[in-house]
Amino acid sequence: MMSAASAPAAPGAVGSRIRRVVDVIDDRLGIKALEYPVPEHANNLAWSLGGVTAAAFAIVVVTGILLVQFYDPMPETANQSLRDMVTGILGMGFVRALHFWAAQAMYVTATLHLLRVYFTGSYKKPREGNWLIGVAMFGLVILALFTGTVLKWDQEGFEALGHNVELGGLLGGAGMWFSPDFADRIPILIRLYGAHVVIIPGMIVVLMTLHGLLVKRHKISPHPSLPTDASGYQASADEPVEPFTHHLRRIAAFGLVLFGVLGLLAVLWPPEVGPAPVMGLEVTKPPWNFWWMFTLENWIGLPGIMYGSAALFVLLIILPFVDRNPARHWRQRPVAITLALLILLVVAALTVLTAFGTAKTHLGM
Amino acid sequence: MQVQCTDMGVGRDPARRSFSGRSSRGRFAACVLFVMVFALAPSAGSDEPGETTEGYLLVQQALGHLAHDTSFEGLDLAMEKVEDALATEEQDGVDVGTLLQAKTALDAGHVETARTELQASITQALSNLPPATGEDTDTTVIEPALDTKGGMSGSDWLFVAISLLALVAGVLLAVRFRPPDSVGELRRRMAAGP
Repeated sequence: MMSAASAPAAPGAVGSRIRRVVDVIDDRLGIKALEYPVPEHANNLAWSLGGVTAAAFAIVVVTGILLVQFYDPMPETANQSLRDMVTGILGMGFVRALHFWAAQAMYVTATLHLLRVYFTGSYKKPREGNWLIGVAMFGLVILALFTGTVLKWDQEGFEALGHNVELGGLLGGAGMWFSPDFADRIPILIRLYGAHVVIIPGMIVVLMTLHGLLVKRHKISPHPSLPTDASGYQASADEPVEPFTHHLRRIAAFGLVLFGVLGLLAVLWPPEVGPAPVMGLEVTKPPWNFWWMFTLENWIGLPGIMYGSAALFVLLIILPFVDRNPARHWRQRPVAITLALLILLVVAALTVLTAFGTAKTHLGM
Repeated sequence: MQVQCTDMGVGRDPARRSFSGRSSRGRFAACVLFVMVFALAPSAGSDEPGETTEGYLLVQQALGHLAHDTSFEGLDLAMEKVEDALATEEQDGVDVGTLLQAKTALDAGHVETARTELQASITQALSNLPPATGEDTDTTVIEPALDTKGGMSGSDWLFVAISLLALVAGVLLAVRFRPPDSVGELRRRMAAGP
């Protein structure tokens, strides 16, 4: 087959020039390896949610790099540095707001991606390992949200830290890292800052790379309403295919839409900077992402957070090993679908209860 | 040993900082030993909740209530803290005269004056704070939440324009790059056979 590089290009044709540039890069970096075929259904929005989550992550990373130029993680000045940044440096209010909204978007799209994978049975053999990597990344996204909340170093962030510390205590020795005594000369805010800007995003990047490589290895999972091949694990050979680069360019388009929406939110609804924290107060509610856990905490105390989140993640982890039903269509999976709907209903109900409740005292109880 | 690893603020007077002479390495070793013996065993949470008796911190808590809630309930909570600060014996660095003025202002419902005087009453205490370690906040000034939803500036309009441009371009490209067939069409085509 003749390559585009060896084909004579029409003088001045932009398409030909681009192809030649791509060929030059491909000769050196092998980027055409990304043109492997994927089934056509992979290009719809539901199957692109993982990519949209990656786009949100990219926005979070870029805005985060800008934020660390001006944020001071010392407890004495952290809150004030945010105020100075937002009010005194041109554009940084927008950057901070965009970081906040992109983090929210990442949580939402990661959740939707996880639900899509669940409801279409994409976690089943041979993709169990990649499901576990996805669950780990979902946990890291929650940790990133949590540490980001603390970094604001306002009352909400400080109370979140108080929960972090006391939950570490409930875990006994296993929660040692969360103790201020673990490195008692270093403010815990600085350690959480390190986790937020290096450890957590670094782990996400590593796992995201593995996730992508495993998607290539196992191929895009079949759509439950379309025929599969004889193994039942892959899309049928009769389904039309497109190069993976088409999947990437559609994700880039969705990423632009996401950026536009988040940019508007950042200008119109920027997050506030709360008052600097005071020890011994508990007057705020956590961010909405944690409301369902907060309701459990209201009912059974601080361990409620631990039991609730542990139960959810244990279920997610054991899912591909417990659910051995090979069917992928929801009609053929009554138990799994009913269980998921029940859990979603419970989480939604717990969230609503906190939405209409008030802040309560739990720390030190 | 259990206290070192698990008493992470539970029941501890938060105003008191540990200046223990034991080395971090020793604590780390103690914690490792604790992990080996009691890993994952629920152990904290049994302590009684502790309220501070440190005067300056009580004043800060009053300021915290005022910063979060200026309703009658918030003022009531702030007043409780001011009264506690006046009653406590640990008033190092607290200007009791100014604190009394703040109480009067709060009684009269003059929140801004009360806030200024409360902050002034603990100036000396705050100037003596050592550098923060562990969970210390080292908060010195407690201002109300910064309202970031002001009017639209020129740069805001620029960001709106960029965002709208990205949104429109993204929608157009997403439509242009959409797959040739919907899932329904694929289903029908594949059912019909080659």
